This record gives sequence, C-alpha cells and structure tokens, in this order.
Amino acid sequence: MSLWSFFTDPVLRAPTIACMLMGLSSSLIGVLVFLQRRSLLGEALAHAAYPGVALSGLCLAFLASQSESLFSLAVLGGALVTVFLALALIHFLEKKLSIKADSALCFTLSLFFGLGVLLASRLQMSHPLWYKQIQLFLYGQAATMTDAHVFFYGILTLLIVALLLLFFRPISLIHFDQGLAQLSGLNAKWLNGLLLFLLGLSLVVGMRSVGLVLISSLLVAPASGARQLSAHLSTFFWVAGFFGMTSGFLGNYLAVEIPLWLHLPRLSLPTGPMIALSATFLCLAALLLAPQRGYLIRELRLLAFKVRCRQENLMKQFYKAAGPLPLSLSWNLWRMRRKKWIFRTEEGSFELTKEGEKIAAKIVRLHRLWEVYLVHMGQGSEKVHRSAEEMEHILTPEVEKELGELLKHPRRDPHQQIIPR
Amino acid sequence: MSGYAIEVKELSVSYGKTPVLWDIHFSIPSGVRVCIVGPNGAGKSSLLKTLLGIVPSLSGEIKLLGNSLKEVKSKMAYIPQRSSIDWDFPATVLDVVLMGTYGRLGFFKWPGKAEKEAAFAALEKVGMAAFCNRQISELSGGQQQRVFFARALVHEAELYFMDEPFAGIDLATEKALAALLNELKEEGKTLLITHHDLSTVRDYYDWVMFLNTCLIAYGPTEKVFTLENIQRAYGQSAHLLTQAKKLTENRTSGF
Repeated sequence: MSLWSFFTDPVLRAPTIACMLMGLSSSLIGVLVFLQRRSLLGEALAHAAYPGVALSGLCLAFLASQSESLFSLAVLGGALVTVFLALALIHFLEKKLSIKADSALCFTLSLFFGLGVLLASRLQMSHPLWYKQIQLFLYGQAATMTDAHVFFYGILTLLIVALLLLFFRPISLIHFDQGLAQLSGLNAKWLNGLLLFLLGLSLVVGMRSVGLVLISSLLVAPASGARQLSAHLSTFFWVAGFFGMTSGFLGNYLAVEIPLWLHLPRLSLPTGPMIALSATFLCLAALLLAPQRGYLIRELRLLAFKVRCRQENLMKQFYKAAGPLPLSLSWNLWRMRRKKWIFRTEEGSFELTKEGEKIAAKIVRLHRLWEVYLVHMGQGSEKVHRSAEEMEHILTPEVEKELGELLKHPRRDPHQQIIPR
Repeated sequence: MSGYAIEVKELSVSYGKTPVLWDIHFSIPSGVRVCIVGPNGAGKSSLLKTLLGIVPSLSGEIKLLGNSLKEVKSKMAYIPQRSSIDWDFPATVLDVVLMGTYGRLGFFKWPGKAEKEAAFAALEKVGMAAFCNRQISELSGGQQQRVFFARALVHEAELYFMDEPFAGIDLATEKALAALLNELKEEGKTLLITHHDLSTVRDYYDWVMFLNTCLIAYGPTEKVFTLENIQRAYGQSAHLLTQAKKLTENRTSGF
C-alpha cells in the first residue's frame, strides 16, 4: 500500500492521524519531563489513570447509559481526576513525608493501578461488555478509532502545542534558571502547574491509541533521541515532535505492512506496541548515529584518532633517525606517501618530504614543550615522557602558543634535546 | 530617595521550619561593591534570594533603590551559584546571554537584532565572543561564569546580585571578572556578592558583611575586616549559633 493511502483510506485514515497527533503531543511533553529529569513521573501518572477510567465505566454502567460520546467524555474526565489525585499524592509523599522521589512514584503507581484492577474486575462481573470497552484504554486500540476521535484528540493536541508555543520562553527560562525566571516576573508555581496539567492532558490523549501501559515510552524515547540532535531548546522540541509523529505513523504503517511482507494476512499486529517499538528504534538510531554525540560516530572518531597517532609516531621516528628505517607497516606508509609526507628514495628507503618535515618537527616540538611544562609544574624529568607521548597528538595550536609564552620559548627540553621551531 | 541602594530592616527568613536569617538590619549606599562572607550554611545565598524575592521572608522590610522589589525588578541582575544550574541544558552560549533580555522584553516578544547585538557586545566584554555558538555543556567552569557575567551585563541593571561568582574558576577568569566588578562600580552600580575566599576580600570589595544567621559585623572593608570579626563569624562562638538553629528546627517540626 502506498504511504499516502494511510492518509486517505477511510479505514486507515483515522487511526493514522490520531496516532500521529498522540505522538506529537506526548513527545513534546516528553521534552519537558526530560528537562526536569522526571521520566518516571509519566509512567506513574499513566497507570494512575486506570482507576478513573474503570470508575467512569462503572458509573455509566449503573446509569445504564448507552451514549458513545458520553462514554468517551466520562472516561477522559475520570482519567484526568485520578491522574491529578495521584499527582497530589506524589507531592504529599515527597514533600510532607520526605519519601524519595522514586519510592513515591512506585508507591503511587501500584496503589492506583491496583485500585483500577479492583474496580475493573467488579465491572467484569456485572457488565462484561463495559469491561471490554475499558480494557481498550489499557493497551489501546488504534484500529477502531474514528474521525470523531481524530477531531477530539486533534483539539487537545492543538491546545498542547499552542500553550507550549505561547509559553516557550518562560518554560525555557524556568527549566534553566528558576531564580532568574522568578526575578523576571514569572510565577514558578503557576507555570509548573500548567506543565503538569499539560502532562496529564497528553497522557489522556494517548490512552485510546497506545494505551496507558505503553504511553510513557512516547514520553521518554522521542525526547532522549532528539536530545542527541539538538543544540537549542527550540530544535529539541521540533525534533522530538517530529520523532513522535513519525513513530505514530510508522506504528500504523508497520502494523499493516509487516503481515503483507511476511505473506501472513491473518497475522494481526497491534498498533500501540508497534508505535512504542518504532519510537524506541528511532531513539536508538539517534543515540548511535547522531553527528555530534552518537555512540558509533564517537567510536569512529576515536578510531581515526588512533590511526593518526600511529602515523604521527612513525613520522617522529623518521625525524629522529634522519635516515633509512625498515618499516613494515605498509598501509600506514602508503597513506603517508599519499599525503606527501614521505617519499621513497632511489635506494628504496623512505624519507620525509619538506611538508612531512614540518609536521614531524611539530609533533616533536609539542612533545618536548609539554615535557618542559610538566617539569616547570614540579614533575620529575624522568616521569614526563609518558604523558608527552599522549599530549603531542592532542595539544591545539592555541595551547601550543600559550605554552610557548608561559615557558618563554625554551630551546631545550628537560633531557637537553633541542626543541624544533 | 533615601540615598541608599538597599535598605533592610528586621528581616527574618526560614526554610520550612529551619530558621535561616534572624533580624538582619543593614543599608548599602549606591556605587559600592559589598561582599557577604560567613561559613557554609550561614544564609548567604538565602539573603540574596530573599532580596530578589525568590525566597519569601518571614518578616521585615526590604527597600531596593528606595522602592519595593516589584517596582524595580527590571533594574536588578542576578547570577546564581554555578553549581545550581543544569549545564546539560540544550542551549548555546548566545541562548543563555539572550535570557538576560527576557525581563526587559516581556515574555511574549522574541529577541530581535538589537538584543542579539547587545548580547554579542556583552560576550565581547567578557572575552567569550568566539564561543557564542558553543554548547554550554562544553565550557569550563571559568567560561561558564564569564557567560553568566555577560548575561548579567545585558540586563543593564542598577543592582547586581551574585552568588559565589569566584567559586571554582581559573585565575585568569578571576582577574578578568574582578576587573569587571570594578568597572561596574565606577559606573555607579551597586553590587552585593557572596564570597568564600577571605584572602581576596580586601582586593575586590569596598564593604564587607559578616553573616552567620545573624548579621555579625558590617561596614567598610578597612574598618570591619578584622581578625576579631572573622573569629566571631567562623570560630567557636559561631558553633553555638548552628546548634541553636538545629534545636529550633527539631522543636518546631515535632521531634
């Protein structure tokens, strides 16, 4: 199926768009949670929505109401109420009873979720149909979402985006420097309240599509991945939002396409877990491949540095020996010849070119300068060689200049060897 | 105008149940560099934060430039303790300095060309212009402090409050920042700074305040910065103060 059909097909359209909206709102809020280093808070609060959902279902069941939209609204309302009750409990545990944050979160999570299971099993006994409706919110069921859902969640997502845009600078200031924020006239309590309200809202937006149990993955993964790629807070928000939306789309796409690829049309993949997995893979890719901070990229740079060290050490040997030298490291020699650092004489030995001479002299110079510096700092001259072996590859021209000025451009190193200019 | 930049009368502050400052009373003329010294936990930072309205006071009166805090907020700049900041925050050096313009701009206008130029000029002044696109997490302690100075400079404030600006920085930065303090003083600004290194007090400050929950001594440096006062603030007798504080805390929280 074409990508575009996911936005036009009457069956696929609503779930796809709804999941993308959900991905957007929860990943944006995830950035805030990330900055506050409170990723577990989303997990605890999401589980705390369950008793609210169950209680609303129970109430409606006893009122014998059949209205679908009343049900949706009641469930959302109930979820929000218990989420904020849980928030109050966490606050009380941390502030009044001085319980550590992680314990308070675990306690609240299990207490509320336990209550939810209790209420749900009561419902299962008396109203099995309503019970099934409620289970939808636990693991989500994107496939059965309709245009009405899209409209409703779209409005909530828009509300979240609009509030974030409007309060962007207060939010950035309060997360970086609360003192200056307050001095600049911000009411920290009020703003923190707003952020917690947005967090609650984003959880409620997500519970119908990914479900309460998995929604926290969309709070955590896009933000952690996006952090690798962003230098400014604004980029952080954009990239995380993009990751969230992409995960929402990929979840739907893969849930439909993978059974087709495997020629197993009866295989039915749930959308919610696919979204969570997509988000996690995107995050993993960013952690590994981000141009500045990515793990693999850093490993590659490290490898390049090691190669350079080896070549520079060879150059140093040339410089000191100033004559033919048997060398078997053919690859490195080949690289150095290609860079025109060394050339082959008619007798078949290697020698430094003019350019190579300069580079090699510089390495030796850095080595010896560093030795002088360490001795200047009170180190014994017999102990300085090892550190200099490393620093000769690392010191920048600025540091070299400073060293020269500090040591008054010494002529000889501690071992009385001449320092090349 | 009373002629004083800062006037504080009978100020008391507590964190929850813990008393932090008792009956502080002082006034600071404008155009001087004042340092607050005292042992750890003496309430130095709390005094700054209370004056800035970040921490509420229990009782007492504070007048800044002859007015209440609300009316002069835009004329105050604040440099928090470097260790209290999350330096892994996604921001560049320029981003941080631009935060200094938020108070002036209001929160819903975006910084424009004029603000960026002001930020750049401030960075030039502290010798960090070359670093303006650098991530703040990559800076050394001294560089971080220079950036915070630049942020305070774009405030164009009358009163500068700084919390331990000389803690954990290199000597070159310390000299540069001390020169900047002098420059600000020459411009008639008033500076209130917490400080931990007693050996530099004479060089960097005109007035000194010994604080240990109570105000122990206060006045021009050459008169007040004496061995006797240092002993009163840091020595054996001060130990009783700490004990009294702990006792009050226990009593009032029900232990």
